[in-house]
Formats: sequence, structure tokens, C-alpha cells
Amino acid sequence: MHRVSFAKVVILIFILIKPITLQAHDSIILSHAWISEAPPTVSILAGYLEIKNNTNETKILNAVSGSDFNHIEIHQSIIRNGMASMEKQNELSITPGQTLKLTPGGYHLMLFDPSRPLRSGDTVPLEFSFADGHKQTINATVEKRNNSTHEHHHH
Amino acid sequence: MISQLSNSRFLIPVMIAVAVLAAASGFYISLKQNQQVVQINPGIDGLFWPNPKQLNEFSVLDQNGNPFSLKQIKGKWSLVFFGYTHCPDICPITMSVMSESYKMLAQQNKDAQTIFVSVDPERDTTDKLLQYVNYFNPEFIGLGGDLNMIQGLTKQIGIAFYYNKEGSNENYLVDHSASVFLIDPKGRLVGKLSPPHKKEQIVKQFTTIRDFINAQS
Repeated sequence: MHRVSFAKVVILIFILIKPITLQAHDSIILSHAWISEAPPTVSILAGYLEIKNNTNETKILNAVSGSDFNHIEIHQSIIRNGMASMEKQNELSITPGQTLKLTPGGYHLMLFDPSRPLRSGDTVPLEFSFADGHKQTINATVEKRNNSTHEHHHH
Repeated sequence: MISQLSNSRFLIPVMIAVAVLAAASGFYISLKQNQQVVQINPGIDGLFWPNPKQLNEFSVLDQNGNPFSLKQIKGKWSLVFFGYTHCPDICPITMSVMSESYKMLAQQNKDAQTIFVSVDPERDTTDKLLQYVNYFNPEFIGLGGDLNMIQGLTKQIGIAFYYNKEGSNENYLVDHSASVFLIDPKGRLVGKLSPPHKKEQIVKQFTTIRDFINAQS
């Protein structure tokens, strides 16, 4: 029977922990992802989240996908002279240390043709692809809109 | 400079500039005088007063396919928003704020009604409108029909909308007014509530304008 030395255990723990600490200091953090529940016949939903760039370089988000949708685009709602319009964004840049917030009435995800009815409480995986090849997934929760709290939305 | 001015090459542009300036200042002064005459406006935010526009007859279809005209507007205080169901952000935000406002308003105002007008009749069928307005509040009214019918209403209120159609993309976007309009029980366009919409603000503006109009008659 092998005796596991104390040193080996320490090394093992270090190896296990290192990727976690690395992730915290050298990564992109996706959080507060939610999809607004919509009337049943609506085929385009809106998704929101926060993207924090914890790396030392500007990250460029250039694609979002999810198996529950036909395709996903990034848009910005703009109200100009009382007219509401949406502008498609081919990419979003996030500078080092910046937290980019996709919120109602601003930047948002346009989620086309959900493959199943999405009701409040459902979770949906979304994959974010960056220009440097990095990909990251987060589960977004479907929620009803709550306008009095949407600016500090969390769950 | 002076010798240059006497040069005919400069004289004509200078004369034009002077003429334009004179015309512009004359226009400005007359505008100012007009504003002074029309100072009966009590300064209520979003109120169209005096001379609110009287709506003329129009004919659209409601979410059940029934005719909807000026008759259904008369006798009610109507909050009206123009949008389309394929709009994922601004429209549902506004509709859910209107739903919250309506809950507060309906207790005090039995004659209040909330109307969603689709400016995208091609995709917003009667059935879609029904499900859409029902989701926000079963008492809401959804109006549609064909483009001609809808324009019978939008042109009177001064609503612009624009289809961003590129090729045969069925997921086209529509630019549309983000304001909520208020029509009084006489069918007069009495107010425009500007975005961003908040339920407290809608309730406050509705109540202030209603009280003002009621005090006039």
C-alpha cells in the first residue's frame, strides 16, 4: 500500500486550487443572466446579463448562441426624438476591469424562435464567444419583468 | 475688407446673408409673439393645451376581430401605445409598466382603458394581438387590422413608424414612437407621456391631466 506523503497532498491541493484562483483573477465573469418571459405567441425574447472583464486586455464579444434558440443577436435599444429603434451590434468591446451591463432599454440579447415555450423559472444555457476564441457558458433564468427592481436585478 | 465688400463677387452672398438673417429674425419675433398669446398652457408636463386635437372617425379591429372606432374611445380615458409584438425590449417594458400603472389607475378610474396599437399588421394577426395583450392584462385592448386602417389612427395622432426590411428577412425591425398618448372622453388628444416610462410617472401625469381637463368643462 502506498503512503501518500504530506508534500504530495499539498501539491495536489495546489494543483486543484490553482485553476480556480486563476479564473478569479484572469477571466471573464458572466452573471445575472435572465431572459424576460413573454406572451406565448412572441417568437423573439430579450436576454440580459452582466459581463465583467477581469483580464488585462480588452475582450470582444462577437457571438452568442444557445441550443434553445434558432439564433441570437446583440442589439441596443435607442430612443431618439421619441422614436424607439434597435441597432444590431456585431460585437461588444469590454475593456480591462469593465463590467458591461445588458439591461432593459439598453444593450440586450435578441433570442430568436425558442424551440420550446419558456416560462418563468426555466433555465436556458447561453454560450458567449469572444474574438480571441474564448467561449463561456452561463445558465440564464426566465423571469417575469419587474420594472421597479429591474435596474438592480438579481436573484 | 471694405474694398473686398465692394467687389461684386462678395456683394451678392453678403446681401443674401443679410436677407436670410432678416427673414429669420422676423420669423423668430413672430414666433415669440405667438407664444405669448398662447400662454394659457398651465405648464403641466405632457399636456396638449389649449386646442387639443379632436380625433376624427377611424376604423380598426380589436383583439377579438371586432370593429373599433371613435365610439369605443368616447366616454373613456385612453392610454395608447404604438408598438409591435416582435419587439423584444422597449415594447414589453412599456406594456409591463402600463400594466402596473393600470392596476393603480383602474381603482380610481372606472373609465380608464389601455390600448396597444400594432404598427406591424403583417405579422400581428388578431390571434397574436389577443394573446399579447392578455398576457399583460386581460382588460387591455389590442388594435390592428390592415395598414390602411391603422394609418387612419396613426396619422391623426402623428405617429411615425418605419420598417427596416432588408431583402426577405421576416425578422425585420420596426422603428416606432416610444411615447404613450392620452385621449380624453371627448376623443381629444390631450397628452403625450414621454419615455422612459415609470408607473408612478404615468399615474401622476394621467391624474394631473385628467383633473385639469375635468376642471375646464
